[in-house]
Amino acid sequence: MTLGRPQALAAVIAAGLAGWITVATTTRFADSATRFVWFGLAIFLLAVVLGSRFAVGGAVLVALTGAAIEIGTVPVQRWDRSFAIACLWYVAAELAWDSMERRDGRHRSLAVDIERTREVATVVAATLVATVMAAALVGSAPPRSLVVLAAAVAALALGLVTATRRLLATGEPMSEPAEQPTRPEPAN
Amino acid sequence: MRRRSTERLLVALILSLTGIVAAVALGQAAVAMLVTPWFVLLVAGLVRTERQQPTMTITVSETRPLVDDTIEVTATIAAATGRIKASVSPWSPVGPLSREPVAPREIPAARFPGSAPTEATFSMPAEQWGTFDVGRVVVEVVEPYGLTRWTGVLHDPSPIRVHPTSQQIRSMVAPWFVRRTTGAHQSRATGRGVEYADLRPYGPGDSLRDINWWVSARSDRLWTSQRHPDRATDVVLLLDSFVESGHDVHALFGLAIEAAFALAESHLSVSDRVGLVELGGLVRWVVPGTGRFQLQRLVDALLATALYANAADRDLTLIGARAMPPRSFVLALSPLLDDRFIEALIELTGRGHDVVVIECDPVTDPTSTGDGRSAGPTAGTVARRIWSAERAMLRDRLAQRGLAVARWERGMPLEITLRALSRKRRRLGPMVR
Repeated sequence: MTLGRPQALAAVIAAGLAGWITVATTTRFADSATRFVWFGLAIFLLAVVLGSRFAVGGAVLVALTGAAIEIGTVPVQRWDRSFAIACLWYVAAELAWDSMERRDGRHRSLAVDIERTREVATVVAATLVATVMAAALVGSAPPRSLVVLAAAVAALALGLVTATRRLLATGEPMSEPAEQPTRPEPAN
Repeated sequence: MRRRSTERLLVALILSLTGIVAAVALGQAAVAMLVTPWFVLLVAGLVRTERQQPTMTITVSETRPLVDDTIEVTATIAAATGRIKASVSPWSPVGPLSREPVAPREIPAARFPGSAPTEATFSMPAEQWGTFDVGRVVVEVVEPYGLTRWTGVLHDPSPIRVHPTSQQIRSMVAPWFVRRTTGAHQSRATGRGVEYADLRPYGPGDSLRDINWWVSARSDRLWTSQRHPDRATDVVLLLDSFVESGHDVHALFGLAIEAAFALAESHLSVSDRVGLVELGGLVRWVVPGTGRFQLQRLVDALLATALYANAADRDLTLIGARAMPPRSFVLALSPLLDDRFIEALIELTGRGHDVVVIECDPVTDPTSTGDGRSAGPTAGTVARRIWSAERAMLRDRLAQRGLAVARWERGMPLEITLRALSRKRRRLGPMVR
């Protein structure tokens, strides 16, 4: 049984590393990006301490916004930088959630730890493949209008939301166990 | 069971959509790369989710354990993928078995279709006797990548009856009245038996085996030995469940219940019919009977007994006629704190029952301060002495009515009390008929 302290420490280190890479490799608009990253890091630390799972997601969103602002203003795309920042923030969030799950004193088996590690590794590996493919395909892709892109994004968003809603609609509502006869109440 | 989303799903959905929209708006594909892990997580999680909902069952290793035994509650979950989190909620209408929180478990689900379902086992110590409930087992099956989870609650409605470890009793208090069936109590009448009673001249119909050859050899005629037959009796355990404030009533009641268990077991083992009458806030009874099933009935009734404060008049008219057969042997277990119960005892004696009282003593040592030190002449000590004197007067009053009373306190073998009762009865009442 662990209270999740090693995982929390690892999460903070990973987030700090992601923030440092974002700030250190910033070429323009350093102040804006830096402010976003430090603010995101602060929220992340607070979320880890308080144990708020949604706040961890919010912190990642704020930090990635800083990185996105910086990328949006640079003509040259650096895929390796985006990959490193994205994966580090993802790993940091997973570690933070993991540390929160361990706080309830649950007996967690080694097999579960291995399973979780494999899932995170799979996501990182798939991201690497997607990054390499994107880097290779972007140069040869035909020009697209904003309308086509917007339609594609809307279709994607609609598909994701619909899939999620349909998924959550399965299953029966949880039924409460029936009351069983209790001891008789005191007579007076 | 019901499928619910986790924080991961919502965070992944928001980050993915925000990143893609931002990438389109800024015209930079590298922005979309920042949220690629979250998009991959979302897609992988949605692809790996199981359409079939898991099934769960709960089993309890034992429903009638002894105190200090450990009960194992096993939740069996048939889920194809994901990991299972199981915990025990102490919710229970009867009372939770374990007062201490039980550590939750997290285990992987069975990996391959057709493989044995996953089992989460919780060990719960049975700390005190009574009727309990294992509580609700809350099971959460988190699907791969942790985007969704199935949640369900398992509840076993059958009660767990924790039996107290009863004391072994070798000697019993001999009843005054016996039935005509064979048992282990020596009757005063003569007949076929083991214990020698008397001699009489040999008559027609006497068995040759009964001839006392030693005596016959010294006289000019034949003599036969007469013996006391062994008979059974009707035993009624009369339990005082009146609440008297100012004492540790639950400890006192616990003493009475433990004694009742031991007495019921010992009397049933010698073919006596044993019944139970609970007189107090509630009036309940078990009609006398014999055998293992009767012991089970008595145990269940004893475990269901409880103390209820009640100022209403409770007397013997409420008790069914079959619960107290005529001339039954009444073993009363009481701290003798409530006048209503004392009056009932006197009335039972008047009705012709053979009544003995085991006084579950509320004060173990009247001169003790309770922390092991010898007390000086303080107000508390004086009060305790007065209390002891009052108790002695009460015992004398009951003895004048033909009721034998013996004290029993925690940590003291019950057999000592029973022997003391036998001694007092020899002084007080008639011999066994």
